[in-house]
Amino acid sequence: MISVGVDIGSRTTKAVVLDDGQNGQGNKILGDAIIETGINPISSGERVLEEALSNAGVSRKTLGKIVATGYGRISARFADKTITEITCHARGVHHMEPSVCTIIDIGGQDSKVIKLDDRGRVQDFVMNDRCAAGTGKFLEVMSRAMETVIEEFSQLFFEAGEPCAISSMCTVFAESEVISLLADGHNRPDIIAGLHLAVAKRVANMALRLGLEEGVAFTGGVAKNQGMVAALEQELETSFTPLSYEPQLIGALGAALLARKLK
Amino acid sequence: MPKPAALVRLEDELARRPKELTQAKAQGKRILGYFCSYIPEELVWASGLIPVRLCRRGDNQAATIGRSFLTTNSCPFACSCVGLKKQGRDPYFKLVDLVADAPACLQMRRVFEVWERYFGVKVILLSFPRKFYLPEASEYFARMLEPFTRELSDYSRIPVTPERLSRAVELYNHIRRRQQRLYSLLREDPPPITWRDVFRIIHAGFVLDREMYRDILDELLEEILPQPHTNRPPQARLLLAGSIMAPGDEKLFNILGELDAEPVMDELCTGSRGTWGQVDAPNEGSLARHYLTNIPCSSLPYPRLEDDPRHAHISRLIKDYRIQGVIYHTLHFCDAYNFKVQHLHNLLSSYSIPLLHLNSDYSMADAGQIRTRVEAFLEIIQDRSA
Repeated sequence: MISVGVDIGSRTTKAVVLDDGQNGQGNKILGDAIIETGINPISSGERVLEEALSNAGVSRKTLGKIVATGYGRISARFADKTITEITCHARGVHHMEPSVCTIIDIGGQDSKVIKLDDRGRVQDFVMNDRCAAGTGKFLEVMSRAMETVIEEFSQLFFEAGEPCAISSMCTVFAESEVISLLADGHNRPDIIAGLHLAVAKRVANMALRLGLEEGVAFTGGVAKNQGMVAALEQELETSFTPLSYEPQLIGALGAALLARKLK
Repeated sequence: MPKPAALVRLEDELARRPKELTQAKAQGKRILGYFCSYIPEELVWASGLIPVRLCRRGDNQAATIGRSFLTTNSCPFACSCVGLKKQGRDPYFKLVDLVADAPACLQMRRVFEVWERYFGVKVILLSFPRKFYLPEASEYFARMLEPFTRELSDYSRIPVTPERLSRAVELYNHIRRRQQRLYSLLREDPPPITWRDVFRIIHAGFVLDREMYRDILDELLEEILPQPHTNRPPQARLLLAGSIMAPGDEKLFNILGELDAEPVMDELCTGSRGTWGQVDAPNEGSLARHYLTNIPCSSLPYPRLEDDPRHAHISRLIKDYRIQGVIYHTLHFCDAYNFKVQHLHNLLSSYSIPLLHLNSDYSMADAGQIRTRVEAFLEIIQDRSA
């Protein structure tokens, strides 16, 4: 049976097409897709589904169940069920790496820490509050303020000599703090490293509140940012368990895995 | 299930109440407003004043107005209480002649200061012991009830005689017994009445004529007890605890409703908390003991974590009501209820009860976020029971 998970996030929309084989024994990822969500989460969901199916070479007729997740999940009319991204990330990570006990997920508009029990079920979770602090959006705005693209922004973390201390986590205030630091003559890599560490500190605080258990995985779009990976590993004093799949697609993968179980 | 006739009557009476109070005022009656469940209403009633608990729907617009009188870091409920008075639209806020304050919560103390200073409202202050758990505190509180009663009587010109006090204590004990009975029905699965209805019934008791309210409670119980229990069992047995939730605060309930969920029990000062216990005799000492030894509000500093009486009480409720998860709702800047949440969280984890902490206010900005959290929390509970 072929199942699909669609993860409609605030910045990007993702889909994973999964084939669990003849008798549900195997789990083969047939295809996936990532597109920008833009201003219309309904059509993005439709589009990413088509794109992932075409990448997988699967026709819509042969499809089994679809689970939608992410903040736009409610608008996904094609879905048989919606499940929160918290449960989906847990499922996706546990499938890829059963030894993981803690998931750090940083997406476009929120960050979460999810604690798993020994069977991979969500035991507890925390989410950041409503503003952009500690999210991908924060890093994007800052990258623009530093006149870099996000890929370069992420790499400049490693060129810092002495990272600046950034105390503001409000995106607007942090931007003015960055301007003051530039005016004081600090170089770009030092400021950029400071921004990464500020996000990492905030997420680390959330993780500590929940109690960090070894076996930590990093998922979500921001996990592709190598500077952020390094900053978080430094703040959490741990190294992440590698996942053998795109971290940005883990939520959609979890949704596809949960879709298999639907009747 | 059709709505019980007594509940319909309760709603009718509630709709009529503002007009009724206006008429009572015209006939020379005086209305005393209060916010906090530590005010011994028995004394207010015995002094011939009409007690009204000013617990009204938190309003974001009113809170914005209130914030200009208080601080930007003040609790939204406190801000809302200032704003509602300033706006002058809420009938109860408009009608009160004087207010009484038992300063357990210090943020609410500021509300009284603003009301007195800017709106010229007379405030009667009831001295309140901070070390409420000491036996001496009850003695002190009993002594402080004397000048409090005197001030009430001076205002109403009706002395609190032993007979009046005895009638008041009897009336309120009766009401509490009936309310406890309603709450005890929520242990059944399915219950003959929903928690939402019980919560609304408690709130009706904040404003209705208390003798009529007592009669409606009697009618209601007579009506629902023999009925077959046909309510649908809830998808998860949730306990709601935390900061004050005023009548008409719908934000969280709307989100829960979208997810087909509802609490089965609460530990709130506007819910079950005021219903426990009885005043054992019509005198100040008994009143003082009753109010001080009840489940304490978190705004009172209980110094030890290990045996916090409210946490112990929540643990008991979890057992009695077979609770599967606790939704702990706090208001922004309500440090009283935010402060110990981590400890409660750890305590509940030790017996595998998940707790969801939602820290919010009256704006809708975080509604989507809260929905995701609640939904994920319900998924945790489902996964556990699968």
